[in-house]
Amino acid sequence: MTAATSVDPGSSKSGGLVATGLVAGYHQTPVLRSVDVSVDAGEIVCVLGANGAGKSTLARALAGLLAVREGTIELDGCMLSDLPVSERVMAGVSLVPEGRALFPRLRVKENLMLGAFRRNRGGLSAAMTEVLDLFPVLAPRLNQVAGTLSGGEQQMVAIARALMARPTYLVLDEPSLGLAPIIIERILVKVRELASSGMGIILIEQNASLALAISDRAVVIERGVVVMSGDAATIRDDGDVVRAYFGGLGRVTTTTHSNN
Amino acid sequence: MFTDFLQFTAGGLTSGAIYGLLALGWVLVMRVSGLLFFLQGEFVVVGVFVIVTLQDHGASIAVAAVGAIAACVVGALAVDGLVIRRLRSATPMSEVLVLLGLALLAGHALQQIAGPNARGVKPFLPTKPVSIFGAFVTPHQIAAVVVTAVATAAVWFGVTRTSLGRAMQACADNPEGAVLVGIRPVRLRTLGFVGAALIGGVAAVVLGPLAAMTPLGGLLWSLKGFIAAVLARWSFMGAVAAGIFLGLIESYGAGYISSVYKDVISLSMLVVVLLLQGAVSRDSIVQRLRTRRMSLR
Repeated sequence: MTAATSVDPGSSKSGGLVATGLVAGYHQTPVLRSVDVSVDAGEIVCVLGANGAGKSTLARALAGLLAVREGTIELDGCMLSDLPVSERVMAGVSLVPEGRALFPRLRVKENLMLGAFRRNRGGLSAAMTEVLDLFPVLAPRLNQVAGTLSGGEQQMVAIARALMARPTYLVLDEPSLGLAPIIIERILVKVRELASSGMGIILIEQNASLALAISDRAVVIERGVVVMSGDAATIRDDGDVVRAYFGGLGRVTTTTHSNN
Repeated sequence: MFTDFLQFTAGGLTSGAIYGLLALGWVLVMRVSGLLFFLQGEFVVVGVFVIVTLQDHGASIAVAAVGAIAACVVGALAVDGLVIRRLRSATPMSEVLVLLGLALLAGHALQQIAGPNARGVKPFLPTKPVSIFGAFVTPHQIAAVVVTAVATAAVWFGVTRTSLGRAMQACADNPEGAVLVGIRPVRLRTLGFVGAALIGGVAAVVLGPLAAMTPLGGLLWSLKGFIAAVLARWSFMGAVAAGIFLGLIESYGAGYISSVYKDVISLSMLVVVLLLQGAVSRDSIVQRLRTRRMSLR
């Protein structure tokens, strides 16, 4: 973990996964209006924000599922913005999407093997061993059809599948969605382990308290722009910020208006 | 009486094998791209005419077969590269209509070049029928069944035992997940087209000596494969079984009722099956591919 990370995510450093001035969206009006996010090796940066703030759009843009209209995405100084998903995967950036996008009718083993689709066959069994070391729960489930696993196990398969590509940077979009708190914690511990081993992680979360607890830095998005970024601990301890953006940090967060 | 039944069964198995072969091509393309591949039968017709032309010029069947299969593959690459790939913002429906239009175009172009007459491949195996359990079948009929069996085994192996086959299954199962692991559906579509072309070319070789072809006959062959694929709900192994089932039903219908009804039987079966499937299931593979494919280019 690097302690001396720049607070300004748009600063001109050459390393890491750096998105600058991203504008992206689906129709005429962009969802992301100008977003700067960066993550260094071994670091967890969480992206917080309400529903519809543009978090998943950011994830899709970083992975290449969605074209960037303006701005750049760089990986260790190399431009990624114009590359298709497959080449970003090969370059070392993988996305675990919201909803997981598993292959529900294929076995867990096949899901994992497909994760290594872009890698040569040689590293396959080594990668498989590593991934099963991280998620030993999956070892007895390898021949089970993925769609029949529990939600937590499916999330583990989703992360494991992304890891099979041996990424250097991982984007996790709402890994906690629909899971019991104890499972979420178990998964986030693994995410922390990955960062400790040198992987850079962008963690997109609605559950701010959990995300801030394991992140080094945090970025808050509101209506497609970054409204705040900085040290995760600082943001966590700043009562005003917490009230303004998350309406309190309790695990059971009650929203004042209807969830949409 | 019973020998009639055996004879109809033998005939049904032969045409059913060809239907199954064509259905394999339909399923292959549907699974990788979600497209209805109306060109499947055109490959057979074009293949047959290539073989016939080469035979007219004195080529051996081996050379002619290779030429036909090569022509089919080149045609598939041309359709993919020159047409489908350019339809960037097309809806699935317009892509299907383009394929249907191309099928008609191919047939009429062939008619302009080769004339409207039906042609058949010169037999390249002995033509003397052999008796199997009292039914008389020609070596060419046996070849059609054997080749279908071999092609089915090859497709099965390719789809379930290779990395590309797994990628194809992934595309059908969750297109977005497939893109995220680095699969490029566009490449797989090209591969699916080439696979379908190979199947069409092989079908031309085994079918050519059994049935004369008119340049405009491709669409009906396409439809037979389509019906079998729909019957099988777009499963690979089911497609072959459904093809054979279709061939047998047609053969019995033609034998016991009247050969006039051969195509009527299979086409009305399509209507019934589509009605039933529409009522039973909304989660067909077609639906899944249709609804989720477009944003994933």
